[in-house]
Amino acid sequence: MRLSELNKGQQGIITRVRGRGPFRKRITEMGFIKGKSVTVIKNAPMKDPVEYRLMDSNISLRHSEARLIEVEFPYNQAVMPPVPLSGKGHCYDTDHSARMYGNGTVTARSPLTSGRPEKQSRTIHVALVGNPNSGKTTIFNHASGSRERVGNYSGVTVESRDARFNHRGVAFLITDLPGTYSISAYSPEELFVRNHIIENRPDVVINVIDASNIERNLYLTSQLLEMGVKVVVALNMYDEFQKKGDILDHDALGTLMGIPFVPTTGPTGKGMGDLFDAVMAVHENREKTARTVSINYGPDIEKAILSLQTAMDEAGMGAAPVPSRYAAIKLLEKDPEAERHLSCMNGGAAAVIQQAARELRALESELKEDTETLIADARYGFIAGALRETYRPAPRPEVTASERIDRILTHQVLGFPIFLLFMWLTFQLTFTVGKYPMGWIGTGTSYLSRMITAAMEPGLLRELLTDGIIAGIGGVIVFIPSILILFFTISLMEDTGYMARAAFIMDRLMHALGLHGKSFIPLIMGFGCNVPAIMATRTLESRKDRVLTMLIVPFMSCSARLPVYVLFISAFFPGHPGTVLFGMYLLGIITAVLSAVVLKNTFFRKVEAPFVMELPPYRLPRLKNTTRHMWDRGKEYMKKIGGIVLAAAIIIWALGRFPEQREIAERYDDRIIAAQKHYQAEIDRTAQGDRAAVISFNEKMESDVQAIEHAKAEERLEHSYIGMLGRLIEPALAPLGFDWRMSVSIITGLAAKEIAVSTMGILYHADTNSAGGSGSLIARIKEQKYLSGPLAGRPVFDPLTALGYMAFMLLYIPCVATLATMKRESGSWKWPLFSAFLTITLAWTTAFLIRHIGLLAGWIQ
Amino acid sequence: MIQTVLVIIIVSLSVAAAAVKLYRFLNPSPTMNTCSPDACAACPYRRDMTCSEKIKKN
Repeated sequence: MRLSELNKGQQGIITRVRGRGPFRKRITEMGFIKGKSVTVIKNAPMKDPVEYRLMDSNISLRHSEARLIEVEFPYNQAVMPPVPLSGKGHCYDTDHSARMYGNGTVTARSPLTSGRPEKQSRTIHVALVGNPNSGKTTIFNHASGSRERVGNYSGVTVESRDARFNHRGVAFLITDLPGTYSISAYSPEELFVRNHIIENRPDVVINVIDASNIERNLYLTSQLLEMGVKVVVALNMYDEFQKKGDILDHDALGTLMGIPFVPTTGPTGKGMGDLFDAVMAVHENREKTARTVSINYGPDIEKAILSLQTAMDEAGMGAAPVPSRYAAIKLLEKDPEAERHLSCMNGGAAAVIQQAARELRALESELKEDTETLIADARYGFIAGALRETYRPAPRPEVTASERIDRILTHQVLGFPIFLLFMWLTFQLTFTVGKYPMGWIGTGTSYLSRMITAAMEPGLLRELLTDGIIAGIGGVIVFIPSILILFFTISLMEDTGYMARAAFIMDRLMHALGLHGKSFIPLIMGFGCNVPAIMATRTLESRKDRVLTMLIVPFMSCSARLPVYVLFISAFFPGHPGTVLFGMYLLGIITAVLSAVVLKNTFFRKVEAPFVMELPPYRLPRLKNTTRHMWDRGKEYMKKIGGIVLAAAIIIWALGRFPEQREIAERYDDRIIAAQKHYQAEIDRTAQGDRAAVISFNEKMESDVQAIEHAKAEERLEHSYIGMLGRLIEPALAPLGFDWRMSVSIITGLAAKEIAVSTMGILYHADTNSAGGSGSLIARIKEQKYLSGPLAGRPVFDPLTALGYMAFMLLYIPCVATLATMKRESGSWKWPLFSAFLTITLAWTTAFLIRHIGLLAGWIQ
Repeated sequence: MIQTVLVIIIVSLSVAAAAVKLYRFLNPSPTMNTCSPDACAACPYRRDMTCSEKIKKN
């Protein structure tokens, strides 16, 4: 029977894996091999994908993929009754493995330590290699004091990062690499890691292993052994392992595998000193455990390996950068990269490749199985043999804590509503908690503005400081608390492991859209910033998937758009802030989904690639990590304000202040003088002693003068350089109900979306002397009226215009940095330009529909 | 007068800073990681490297 036919709670023993190519390779390497036990945990909403438990890890497979795996019921599960989710499967595995592989798979060769200890006098180059989500970046950060991004889901690291530090007076250069289940060449991450090891030749590789899932993680270790590199294993998350009650004789395991094993706990840094002591010992050939251990693949495969090694020696390939045994095994695994690499070498590469083809044909006909599976089986057999002597798993609970939580959070019916509820709560929290610090910052900037006005003589510099810098920067800086709160909650979801569940819940939808499951990670990253999200598309295997994901990432509402939403929602939707903000994010997601469907059926037609995803256990978030993530995002935002936003505010002020327009100034100054004279004459005519009448005339005079000053500023602005630009583009955006100032803010928002708010602060004269701070910009946009034209006297903004403007800001051309990144990643301007055209068309159409449907429906008068 | 001079300097510096920023977006420095599979022959994520590209890279 097929794995897809098992019901929830049922257990099966794998008898055969069908399928071919990358899928077969990937699931084989993840442990879906003959003899292993698999238990069905549950279905996602919409009944696809399905979560399975295999070797102490939970893996999600789609039905279509599970259909390719044949299983049989274990002997103790007679007529298909659902069994409780217990650790029996693991016991069965061990016994079964023992039957299959016996004890004789480990063979020791001459130890590496035979020579003199290597005197260290240079920097030790260390590479961190391990399964996704095993804690490599946490170790990297702890060892080097770096603050690279970490998260409780796979695929956070997509490129290598270096850092230097000293340990016991020795210099280390440490490289963090993307997570990978193996180092075959089937996925881009695997190729990346393998190339790094072969080409950069690190002195020592630290293989970071999730100790609670040791069997699956050791598969990668077994491959590293074959590469002939010096390895130290970090048994990470050892605290979780100990809590489970498992017992591991890691010294004995190290002796069996020829590698030192060091227990570590990444987040607390426990064991880190011992880890780097072991690295130094291995590097200097002082570590007695370290020796070369070869996996015995059985007589037939071993014979083929030997024959290929001989052929390579005869072809003069002794100087290859990897051991000949490793190259021979790769050829027998039908590794396309190995063949390509060989074909690039001089000598008799063609003869070796032909010899490999002959050996493959002979092996597969003799053993009736493809060699990739045979080799993976042998590796797992080697691991099972080593663990049988050193590892005693404690009885597993009926249901793990993560599974108990998942019964609710990823429930078939409740999963979606709970996901939406969490998102809504996040946005509601952004407003309800964020409004207090926003008010304090607003009051602070207004106070600063009043102080400058009082302290400085009137002049251009004072105008620049109050009307340009404070109005522009103050309008943006007030949103820092909202951004911090948003990132705190997103970070909580990531660190607990809920974000990986969100991918599980959404997988069916992604599948229906024809998107690769891996696209989910860049899309989630897009909520932070679109630039790293576009860079994260590198891990997608096909160019079509990469470009398609790049094109829809800009619809994920990045944090730079948040100030725009908070401003307009505070002004026009104060009754339902969280719901409207949630609606904006949802609009972005829906647009991304629809665009993906259309693009997939037009420009990007291709066969859907399978996706196997691991679901990490729930973990208690560490406040330090979550706060650090939030602070890093806030720091990025403040750096942006101090850089590009500040420069833009100054330029926008200058463009709005010039040309000088003396004629307009003089005309209004004359009117001010006339008004003052008029009221002075009225005061003079007032009977002496009528103080009330004098006060009244003075107040009227002040009010009239202020109105004239305001009209003067408006007219000067309209005739300024920025006014001319605004008037030029206004007709294109007038059907959406946008005035020329909004049109200008849309243009300046191209540099960075926060600049749109900054521009509004300057153009609507949010200031300065009102006590409201950001409230003053909110009040200003609420009271703006058209001064001339057919709409003269009518308010510029109403809820429909606000909604249309927010939708436009969400959907239109991503910022310059995003476009430049898209160009860099896609290799040409074609796709960024297409993205610009697509996004602006969608933004204009959406804003138009919002306005005109709203008007037709009579939502506003 | 001093205020006007200071404003001219500040605005000029801002324009220069914005221009540099834009230039850097479009022409990233060699230290930035611009090596993507679709743009860079030496990208470690790239799988279809030709022999000459591979040799050049090494």
